[in-house]
Amino acid sequence: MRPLTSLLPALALLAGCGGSGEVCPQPAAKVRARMAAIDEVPVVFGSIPVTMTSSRRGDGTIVWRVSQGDRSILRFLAHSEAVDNGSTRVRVEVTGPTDRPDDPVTQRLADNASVRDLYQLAMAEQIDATLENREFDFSRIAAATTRAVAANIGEISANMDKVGEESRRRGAENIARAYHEEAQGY
Amino acid sequence: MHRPAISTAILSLLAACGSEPGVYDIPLPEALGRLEQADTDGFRAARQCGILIHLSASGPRDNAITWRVTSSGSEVLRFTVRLTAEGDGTRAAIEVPEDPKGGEMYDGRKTYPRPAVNQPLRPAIQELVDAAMERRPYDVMRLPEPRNTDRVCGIQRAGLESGSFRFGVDDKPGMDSRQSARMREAEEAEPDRGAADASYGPPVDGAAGSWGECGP
Repeated sequence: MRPLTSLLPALALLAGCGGSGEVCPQPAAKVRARMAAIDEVPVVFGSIPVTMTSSRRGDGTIVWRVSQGDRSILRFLAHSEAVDNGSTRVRVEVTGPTDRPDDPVTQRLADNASVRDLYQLAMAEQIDATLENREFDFSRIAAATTRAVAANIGEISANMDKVGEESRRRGAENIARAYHEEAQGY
Repeated sequence: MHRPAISTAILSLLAACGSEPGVYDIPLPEALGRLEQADTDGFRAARQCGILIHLSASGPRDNAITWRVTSSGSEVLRFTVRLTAEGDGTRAAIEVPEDPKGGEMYDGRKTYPRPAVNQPLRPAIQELVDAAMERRPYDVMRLPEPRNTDRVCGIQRAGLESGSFRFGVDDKPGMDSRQSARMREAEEAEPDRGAADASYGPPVDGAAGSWGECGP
């Protein structure tokens, strides 16, 4: 019988490159360049209008700043280190928009592990999908999503009405704009 | 004795049960005046799909008002509300044109590639009349379930609400208005590629293409 431990490397490979320190079979320079090109926001933000811009820190870390309008709301960090010439270890972290230890977002993430884990997993999957030239696989974050929803169902329910109202307002505005433009002959 | 109070309560209960649907305890001239003020903007906002529509009223004529629904200058639907005196009150009858494929237009079972309003139409018009008679804004939440049976309408409206897509009665199959315009420009530059499909007016059993144009 095959020992269970022999399956672990295979399982780690299935987990992809962007998880908690998994090793990606690509050179560090290539991994960093491809990660730095990621500007697609992980699906966990849904229809919230956020943007994401990346920068390099110089120590092998890629930083993505997620913003809503002009306001920076959080950051993803991917720490990378070369294991050898052909492989790279990547570790993803989510944190508040500033490095201040009392950053309120950082504190809220620390207080809410299920949400923090979901964000980290979603960004890791975004990186995996990029490095593996495939689409984002929602099934890889489904379990974390369920845990985060279960842990935050009260707040989510309270926010649903706000989100719905905001969505209705935007829809009505877009329809009104369409009629206005039609009247202008566009 | 509490008999008067009890009687009043029973009378109130009876009043709360309401009269026959479509019959209003309002004299005909007053009802006609209220119908002229019907909240068609609210109706449109609640019921429109992905094409831009305009409602224009004609009448009253013979105590009836007809609303024409147009899109891109073409009539896509019309409906009439006819009032008749009934005792001291007024009865409102809704008239929707017959559909060439049977039944009425927008009766909840039709499929249109570019629907003008969600289905079923009749309850939506009933609410338009009820709101007018009660001198209040159109309230889509008062429509009985199912309120929206037209999946194509829902998909195209979502496209319009997103701000990313526009639809029109002259769209080419599977395309929105912008894509259709680009395609026409390309066809004009290359005239041998074939004429546009002009089958978007009447209802169909199921049309091919994206944007939910397939039948349910």
